[in-house]
Amino acid sequence: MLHINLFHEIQRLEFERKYDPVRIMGLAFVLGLLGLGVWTAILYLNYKPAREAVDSLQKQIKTMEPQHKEAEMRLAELPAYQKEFVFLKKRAQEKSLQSRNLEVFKGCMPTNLFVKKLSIFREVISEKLPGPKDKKGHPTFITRSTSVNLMNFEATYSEATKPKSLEQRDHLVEFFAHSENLGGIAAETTKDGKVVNTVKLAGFSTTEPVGNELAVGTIDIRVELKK
Amino acid sequence: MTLSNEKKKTLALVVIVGLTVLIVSYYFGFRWINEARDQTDKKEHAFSEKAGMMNKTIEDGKVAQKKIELFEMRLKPVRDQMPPERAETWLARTMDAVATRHQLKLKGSRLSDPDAIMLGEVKAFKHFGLVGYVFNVQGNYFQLGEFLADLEGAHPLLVVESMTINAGAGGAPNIHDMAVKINMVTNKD
Repeated sequence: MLHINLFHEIQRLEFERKYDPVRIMGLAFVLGLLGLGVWTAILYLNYKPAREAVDSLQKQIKTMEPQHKEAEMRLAELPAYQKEFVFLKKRAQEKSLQSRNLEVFKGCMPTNLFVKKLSIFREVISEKLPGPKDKKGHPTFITRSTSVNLMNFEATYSEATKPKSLEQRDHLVEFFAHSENLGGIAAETTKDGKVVNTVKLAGFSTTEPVGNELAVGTIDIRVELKK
Repeated sequence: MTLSNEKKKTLALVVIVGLTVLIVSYYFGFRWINEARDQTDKKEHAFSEKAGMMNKTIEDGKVAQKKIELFEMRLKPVRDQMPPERAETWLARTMDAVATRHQLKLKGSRLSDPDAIMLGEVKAFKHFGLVGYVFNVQGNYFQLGEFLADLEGAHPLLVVESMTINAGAGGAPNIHDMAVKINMVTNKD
């Protein structure tokens, strides 16, 4: 018996129509387009709340701006307040009474000294201190400036000879360095392991005795005062 | 299954047209939303960071305001002590009154800028003023000391910045000349 499929032609045509590559490809592209559309719709739905959040943040920032500006002004003002408050407090607490300095000065002067000039002033002293090493390993220095209260006085005395005048100079420097009276107003320093007044010989000159006249020594002493 | 040449051409055309439609749709239709979303995300992040920082500054500002109020409260007694009139007028009058009390006469008194050294770390006052005077006065050592003590006691914020005494000579060896520089913290004009 011969099997003949009488519908073969019809089935072939149906198969070719159903599995037409052009049709399949067209459908695939339509599906791709649809997929893209769905993806975009999802993105849009997600994007909307984000955009609303941005809008709300922008509004929030705008309303916060005056407060923020005010806060920035306060923050900028604060250091000046702090510094000025500390300054005023320190000034009131550490007020150096020059009248007291004059009183103490009078009480510590040896009777053989004639004071020609006395000054009390403030001066900035710069110190060079070793700092950290630089990139090449070379030592660096830091300059530290501090202001100090100084008392400077110029006085004269008479001695029989020039060597005695020089001896008297050294004696006076030692005297002021160890003077207990002056210690009430002078800053302390350590010398040879002992605490003494911060006294420095700033200048000195002496004349030769001529005839009956004695040798006149002029001494310039600088005392660093307590803060 | 073999395709006829006609079919192959149609298929190629469909592929080209389909791909073109997809690419064009993506670039001109859908890409913007992707990019806009990215930008919005970035903006949201940046704005939320900014809002956070602003909030922190506002909180810090509130703390600063409280500190300033505290400083003002502590400075009130200082401000209350300040003369009601202009400081230089008050200072000039006080200097004259103290000198007269000690039978002394001021010479060459004039306003002078206080030394920057007196301000130390402050550099310049923002909420106060600083007024200075220089003058000379002549008298014996005791008188000068008493005068200075009274002047220094006239106001807690009055400071003798510097002074120099030149010993008297000639006919009046006990009458010394004292040059004084004073300054005083005042209210801001």
